[in-house]
Amino acid sequence: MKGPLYLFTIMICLLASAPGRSESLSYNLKPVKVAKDTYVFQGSREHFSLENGGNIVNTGFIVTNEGVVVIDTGPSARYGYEMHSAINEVTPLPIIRVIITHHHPDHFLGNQAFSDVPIWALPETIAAVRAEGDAMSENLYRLVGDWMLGTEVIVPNNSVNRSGESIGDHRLRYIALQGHDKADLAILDETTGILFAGDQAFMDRAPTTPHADIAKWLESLDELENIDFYLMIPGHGPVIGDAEAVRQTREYLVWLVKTLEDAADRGSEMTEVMNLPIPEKFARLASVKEEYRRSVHHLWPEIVRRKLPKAIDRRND
Amino acid sequence: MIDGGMGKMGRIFQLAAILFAGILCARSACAGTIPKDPFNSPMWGWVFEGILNEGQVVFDDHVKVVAPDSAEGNFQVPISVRVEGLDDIQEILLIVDLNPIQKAARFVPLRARPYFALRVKMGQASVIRAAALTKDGVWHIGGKYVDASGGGCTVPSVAISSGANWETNLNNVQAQVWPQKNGVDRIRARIIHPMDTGLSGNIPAFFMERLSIRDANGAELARLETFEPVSEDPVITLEVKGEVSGGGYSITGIDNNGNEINAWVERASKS
Repeated sequence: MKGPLYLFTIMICLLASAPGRSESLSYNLKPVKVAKDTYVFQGSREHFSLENGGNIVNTGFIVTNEGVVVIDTGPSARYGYEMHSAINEVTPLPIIRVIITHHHPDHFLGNQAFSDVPIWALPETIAAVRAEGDAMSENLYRLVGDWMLGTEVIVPNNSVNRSGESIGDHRLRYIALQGHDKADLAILDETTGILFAGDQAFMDRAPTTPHADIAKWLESLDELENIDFYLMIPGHGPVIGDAEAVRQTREYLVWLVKTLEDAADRGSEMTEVMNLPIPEKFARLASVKEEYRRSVHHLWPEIVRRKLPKAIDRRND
Repeated sequence: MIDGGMGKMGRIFQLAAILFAGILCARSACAGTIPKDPFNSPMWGWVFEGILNEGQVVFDDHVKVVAPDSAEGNFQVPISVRVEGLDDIQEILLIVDLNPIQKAARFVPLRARPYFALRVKMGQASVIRAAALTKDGVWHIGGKYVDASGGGCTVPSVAISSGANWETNLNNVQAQVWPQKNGVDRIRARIIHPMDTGLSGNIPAFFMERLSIRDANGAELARLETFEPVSEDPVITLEVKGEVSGGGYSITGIDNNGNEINAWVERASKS
């Protein structure tokens, strides 16, 4: 084959085989009905990858008799648009409201598909999306590639400033929590008993900690566990009928903090801490190895700052 | 027309190429070939010439670099270096090939083990290598590739402590000593310092240059020279061989603006 033609052929082959080739990408979103009027799009329990396109998250919607309430919009514009189409196949009613649980990129970057309806979030979440949304979006481009094409940050435009409200024939309770993120919103549909827990609760999947305040998170988990619900939809992992996700998340976080603090007391340094073994009971949590190491990055510097005692200052001797 | 032009241009290019090759030859390729880099780093040639001064090098598993496969944040990438099974280590260089400033630290063990740990900033994915110099003048090199494109919800990190008060806390030291079973004292120290690289905005380079561990009599037991790539508020771990008199260690040093570091940590210090 002649030079230019040969090169051209290689280019075509590369294009055709490139993972994340944009035209053929589809999340293939299928809404699962989990209760009356209530549907979930269930993501994998993996970390972000070129293969999953960021579909590692649970989003959902409630069909009220006045219209649809969407809870979280996924990791990309493409995801949001697919969600929108899938909802239109379930009901002819219009989408009237989007609620974002917190400011992590897998939960709000599909907002573009819903930019014609009010997007609600806690005030701290709105501020955080405004401040960090672009950086998060860029990082997700790096992690999942073409799945993100065309994705732009749409900042939520309405503050959740009340403890609940009726939308059509559904009564929603807004539960403002903290600790996984700067602000975490859980939503209890009092009409059906469905609790959208956001990333406060992880089921069979290691919790993530990039903005975590573990002490506040543990307090919020206590609050969450005391809520009466019929089904819980965790931010990641399968839908469940009890508070097991809360218990799993709490148990892991308590272990995580204790492990890091003990290591600091032993005089370990950061690479040693990252390579500590993970106990059997947590080994079954999806993505636990990656998440543990990421958590060391997030939490260790502050633990060292807090734990290392002051040396005696001799500069003025 | 085309032929004529090509011919003329071709000759000029040829001449330029020969001249250029001649310069390259004089620099390195002909003087002594660049050893092949097992990490295939594009900056290896520069590191070999500019940092290792074209010295004798050997890639050696005795030099162990521990770092994450992928850095979660580019501002605090943890690294430890340990040399095992090689005697008389004179110094260890820590080099991040693809950083704009490659040399991160120079460790002179003196009476310490050939081991240290700290954190560095990374501009992009890179090989991180340690070069340990033995008495015979040979650099023994180990390394690890670290992907630094970030992960998940990473956002630029912020000053976690020095923050707003760094000026009043500058060069304050936190430290603790952990006596080990084998007569070795592990020392961990954290020094408040912004470690500005000079490559960001209009902020001039401002970084801690040297940190020494001394015994009560002032004898130097270990020295760590740190450069711009070391992370803000450096946390240093090293291991001094025992039989130390005086019940503790002094931690002394200086930054590039002449600000002094001088602290004392008791050997039996308790948190």
